[in-house]
Amino acid sequence: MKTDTSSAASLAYLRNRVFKNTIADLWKNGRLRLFVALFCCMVFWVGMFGLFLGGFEFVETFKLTDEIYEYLFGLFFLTLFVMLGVSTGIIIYAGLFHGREASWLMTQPPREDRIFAHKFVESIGFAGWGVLLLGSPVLVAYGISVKAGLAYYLTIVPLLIAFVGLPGGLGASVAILIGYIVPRRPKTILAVVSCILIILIGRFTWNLVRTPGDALTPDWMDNLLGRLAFTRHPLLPSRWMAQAVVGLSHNRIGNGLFYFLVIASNAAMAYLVATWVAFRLLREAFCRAQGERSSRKRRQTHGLDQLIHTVFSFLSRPVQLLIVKDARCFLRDPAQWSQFLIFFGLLAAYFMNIRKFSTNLESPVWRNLVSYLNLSVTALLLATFTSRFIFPMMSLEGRNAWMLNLLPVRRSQILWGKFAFSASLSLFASESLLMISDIQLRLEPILITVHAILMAVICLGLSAISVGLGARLPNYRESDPSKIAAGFGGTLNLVVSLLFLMITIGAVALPCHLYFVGIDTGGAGFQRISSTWTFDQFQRWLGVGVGISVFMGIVSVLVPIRMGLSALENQEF
Amino acid sequence: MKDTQLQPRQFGQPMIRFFDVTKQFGAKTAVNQLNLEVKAGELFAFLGPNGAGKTTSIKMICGLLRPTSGQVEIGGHPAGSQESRSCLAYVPDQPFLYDKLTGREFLHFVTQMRGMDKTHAEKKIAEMVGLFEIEGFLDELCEGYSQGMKQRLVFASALVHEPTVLVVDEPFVGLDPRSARIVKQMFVDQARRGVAVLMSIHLLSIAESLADRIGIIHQGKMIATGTLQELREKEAFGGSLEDLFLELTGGEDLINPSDKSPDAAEEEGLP
Repeated sequence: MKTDTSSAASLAYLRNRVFKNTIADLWKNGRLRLFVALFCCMVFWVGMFGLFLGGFEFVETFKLTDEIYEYLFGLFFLTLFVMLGVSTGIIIYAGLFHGREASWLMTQPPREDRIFAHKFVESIGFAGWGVLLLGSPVLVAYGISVKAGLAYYLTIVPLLIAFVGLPGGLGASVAILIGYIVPRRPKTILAVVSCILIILIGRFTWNLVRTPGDALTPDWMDNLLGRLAFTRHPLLPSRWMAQAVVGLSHNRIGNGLFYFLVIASNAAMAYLVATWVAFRLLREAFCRAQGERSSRKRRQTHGLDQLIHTVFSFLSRPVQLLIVKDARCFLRDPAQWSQFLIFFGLLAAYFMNIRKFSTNLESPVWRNLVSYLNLSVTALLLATFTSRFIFPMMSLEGRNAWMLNLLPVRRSQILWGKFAFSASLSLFASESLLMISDIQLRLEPILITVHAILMAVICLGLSAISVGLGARLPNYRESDPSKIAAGFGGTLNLVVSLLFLMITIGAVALPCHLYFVGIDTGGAGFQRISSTWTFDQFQRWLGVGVGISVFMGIVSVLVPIRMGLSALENQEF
Repeated sequence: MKDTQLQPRQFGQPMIRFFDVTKQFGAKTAVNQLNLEVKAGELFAFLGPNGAGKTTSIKMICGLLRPTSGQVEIGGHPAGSQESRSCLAYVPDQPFLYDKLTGREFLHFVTQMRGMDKTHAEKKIAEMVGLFEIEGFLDELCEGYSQGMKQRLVFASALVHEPTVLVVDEPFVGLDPRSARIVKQMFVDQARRGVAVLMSIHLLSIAESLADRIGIIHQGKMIATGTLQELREKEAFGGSLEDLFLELTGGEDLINPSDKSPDAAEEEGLP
């Protein structure tokens, strides 16, 4: 039929025009955004490259066999495979069953498989970009460390692109099947899959850290490889990737190309199967998903409401009600609290069992190091949480500006309300985690107190940055919070949050580290400085560090909030 | 595939048909055994209170929802089939446009997707641009358009491929009086050319003045169909369409007694 070929060409025309217009618009109106985004990508790439080059060169000093590299890459690509499969599935599901574009295209002449192909290309474009950014520095660093030839570097990009298609095709098929079989329960399926994945990852990690033997001894290595043996299953695409990478890097071109073609042909097959599934089931699945209607009565949350009113009694009643509204929205979106709960839950489980994971915790320097690593992980998780969920809040609120403007509250109160909501939630979760970690590590009371102050500064600072920048760089056009978070404002928010964390944690962690290294070893170089520190001197330097962190905290609360307030007061809706 | 281009002699041929169509969402019945025909050259106004089942019915016409039982046909083809979509134009109440396309690029995209010959497409685009007066902003990105500009472009894109069935959901949302007049005239012209037009609308005065036939749906059931005159006669009602609508959909308490027919008023003991 003529419309079949013309619809494919028209959808290609559409993607082409949208891409060109987006770039042209960005060049014309958002050059700064473009350069900041490119700069961030470059910093990320160089950072990853440096980290992995150092790692591979270190590993090379042990003269490891190819087999061990295959284990490492097998694990790396297996992780990527699962992440890509799940993320492409989610993107395809959202795009096909909840997107306005798909809904419109379904009323137009293109066949269902053409519509699917259009959305698949889009999602693979996003995923491919991410994989290139993540995978290319790793593979380039590996190539340099093993002195790979030109053929290896020429094959990296096609290899990664071919690899993306395989989990993408599988994830897309599963997404359509979920729409077809359980259209009313996509979030339940996602939650179940997440739980299964987390249990598997947790179990796997547990097994790895419990590997018997002293670390880095031959026996330990044998045991470790035994526990990683599943990554070498011949039917796993991650194994094919590992074989292709190692083969090509060692000039076994034939072997490398063979696995490259195995991956490419399987990716093509996965795409073909997904297209067939779309051709047969997409419209029915779409109709079923559209028929989904949430008629579930929502549970009243009087207890929670009362708790919020009590905790925030120092704020005006309308602001308290806005916080109640935010809390209800948060709790009624499992995509938000489930991620929060899962990651913080995993950290809590790890912190509670921290003594079982390591035998080195009797050493003060290790204990101190692990305590700051735990604090940093919690803070990083908090930064992603505030960037993902708190930053978009003001943008989403802008859609209801007509209503908010009619409420008896000042705009500034709305902003402070968001800040209070974010800070209280963060403080409760992070301080609890940190206390578990510090108590399990049996830290001295003074350090526990310092950590508690530092975490409070971090919670307040991150909340203020996200709320303030959220108001300063809002995106009122977008209704999807994940897209708001992934945009320029969200990315900048994450970068600023990370810089803030580096300074605040670094200022306190450095004197602690110098002091404890001195106690432990009394060694040479900069450690000699610390070994001469008395406890009083340490306390003085720690005080300076805490002072810097608190100062940074105050700046990070006041500056973004002031920026946000000013933007919000002048905002015309 | 059947010929989707209507000849004048095909006026009166059923283009939209509902055969005993029921649509349920869980325990809720949104559309209940609906039977309906809209013929070529007919302008049919679909009325009903909020939640009566209008949008559900329209989505079944467009193939976005499947009936739980019964069948929907468009131009003799099952709704949702490629043939039915080829002859159908649908304008939703919230128009969809690509933010990063210009209006002109969007029209080109639609004509290309519809498999139109390039010369013919250019001619039709020029015709639509003139009809809906969109030349002034056609080369700007759609993200900057107002609701009315978007609505006019969406109408242009819906008609550019000369559909034989036009389905519109609340077509006058966001249109200024001039644009609304253009759209009203366009509906009449399309119907006179042999297009089957089904419009879901809440503005009863427009339905009264434009529609050849009116259907009133309430709680999923079609409770009345016919010309305005036929509805009045059937219900023995002398008032406006608005009063008739309220009478049929349970809003009798809002009707001015003087608007009721003398017989009905007498039955209720009114002076």
